[in-house]
Amino acid sequence: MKEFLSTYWAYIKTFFKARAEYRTSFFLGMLANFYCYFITYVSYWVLTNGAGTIAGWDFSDLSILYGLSLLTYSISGTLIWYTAYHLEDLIISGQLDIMLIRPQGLIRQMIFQRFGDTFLGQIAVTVIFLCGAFVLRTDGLSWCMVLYLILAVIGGIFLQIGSMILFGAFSFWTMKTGELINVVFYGLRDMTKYPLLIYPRAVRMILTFVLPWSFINYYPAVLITGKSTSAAELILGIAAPFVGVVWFLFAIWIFRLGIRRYTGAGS
Amino acid sequence: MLSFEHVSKFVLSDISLHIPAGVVVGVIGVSGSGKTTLLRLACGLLQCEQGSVRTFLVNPVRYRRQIAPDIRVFFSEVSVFPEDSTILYEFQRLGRIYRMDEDEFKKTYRYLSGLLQFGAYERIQIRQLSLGQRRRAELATVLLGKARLILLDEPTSGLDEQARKVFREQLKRKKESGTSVLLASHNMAETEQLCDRIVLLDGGRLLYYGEEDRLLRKYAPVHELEILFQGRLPDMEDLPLLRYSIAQNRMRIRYHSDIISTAELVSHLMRRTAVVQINIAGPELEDVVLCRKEGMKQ
Repeated sequence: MKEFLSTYWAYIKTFFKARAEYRTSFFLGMLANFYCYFITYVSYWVLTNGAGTIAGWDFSDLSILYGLSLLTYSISGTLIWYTAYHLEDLIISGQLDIMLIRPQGLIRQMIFQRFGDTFLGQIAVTVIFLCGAFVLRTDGLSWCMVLYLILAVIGGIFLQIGSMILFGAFSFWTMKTGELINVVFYGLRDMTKYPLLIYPRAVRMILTFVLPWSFINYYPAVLITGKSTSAAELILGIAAPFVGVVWFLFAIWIFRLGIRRYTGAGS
Repeated sequence: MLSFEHVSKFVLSDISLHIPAGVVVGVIGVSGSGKTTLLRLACGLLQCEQGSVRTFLVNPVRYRRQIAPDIRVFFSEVSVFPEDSTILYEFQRLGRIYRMDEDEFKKTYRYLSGLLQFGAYERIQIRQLSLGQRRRAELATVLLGKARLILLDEPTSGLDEQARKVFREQLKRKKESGTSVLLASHNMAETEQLCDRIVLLDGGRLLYYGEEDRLLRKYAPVHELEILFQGRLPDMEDLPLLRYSIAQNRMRIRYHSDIISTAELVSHLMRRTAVVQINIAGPELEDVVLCRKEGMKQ
């Protein structure tokens, strides 16, 4: 892990040096992302009329809810989004073959191939609104909660990276289904922008036990904002960081199966 | 170093061959004869259906990661670098992947970028570079670090003559240090210059594996003889020639040395006209593939 982090830091430095010539497009990309997600936060403000609530969640609660989702998504995005999302292209172009004959794990190579610089805009906007939300909240966080928050973010990052890897891994089985998976995966995840409470039971079950998106933000946010009403919610909240790690390991396993299938090692 | 035993996969059937260290092997054959499949089997990208492939004594599919530090590959139809990256960044990345230490990497990179002249555009986005510019840098990746086996599929297409020459010299140096090279190419002149041995594939079968001279004697015994003569046109009667042409006092004859020997032909000509000068050209690798092509049509 330590080696990974120091290597990763070196990669980032090299990456930015290499891109120094393309500063304008870098800042434009960041700005576009910043603007796009800024609008989403503003929409909460509008929806809650500033001081109102949605199902008991006020503006700062919603900011935490969405902030957890976006923060983990964008951090994961800087790591692996570009190459995972374009894995199909790597397969078609044959670049994946070349990557397979290099003495480094495929996922590691995917991380080091492209730093997701545009996600920095999202990280910036989210940090602003998350900090704002915690300042707005009158009851401060206990140390215990701060620790939980950190763990929940790490778990969320694992869950998000896992999903990106899983998303890419589908290309080993089927091509040209990117759009469909996009809807199933990210369409459903978009629902977690709002408190799970507002959805029918079936949707809540899917978002918890089938595609565990609600572990990224809903259950941690419930715990952090002190909204848990049942023991189940409390347990799911505490489980969230672990769910992330398990989902990540599951994704790696599927990814490996995919590579095995791709190179025909099984047959 | 690399051995195939009764290997079958896709078009390839029952291939057996062994390649020792420090040998450059040219893989020739018409398109679709299985050249690329052979290379992909050697580096563990394909699992053979029958037989066994051993690269550095192990199964290359199962131990792909373990043998990877010692293997470099180049497939001409695959672009090595991502479009939005730069050559410098990609090489730095490769230096780390191959675990080269900082100084060794810098030295090698400076050497290669100078030699193949891609240092001038190392910081420009790759999508803005021409095919030839990219190709120089892409080929340099197979020269990076210490490899024991280099697999090349049409490496020099899209390269200018100067860069080809440089690349050939580098491969020779690698060979001298014990690296084996498998080179699949349509450029016969280059294969002849570079390779110690030839693998001739035909419809997926291994027709020949060994030194070039014997291959030529066996598969392309075609010679070309050119004479300058003075006096009357020599009558070729019904000598078994492939074809001949005459332009003024110059005559060009192509013949199978198996069917009519050079001595026989020359003495025939000497008897019928005053010969001023004789040039004899032996068979070339090109003829082998051409012969196979003609064979396929029949």
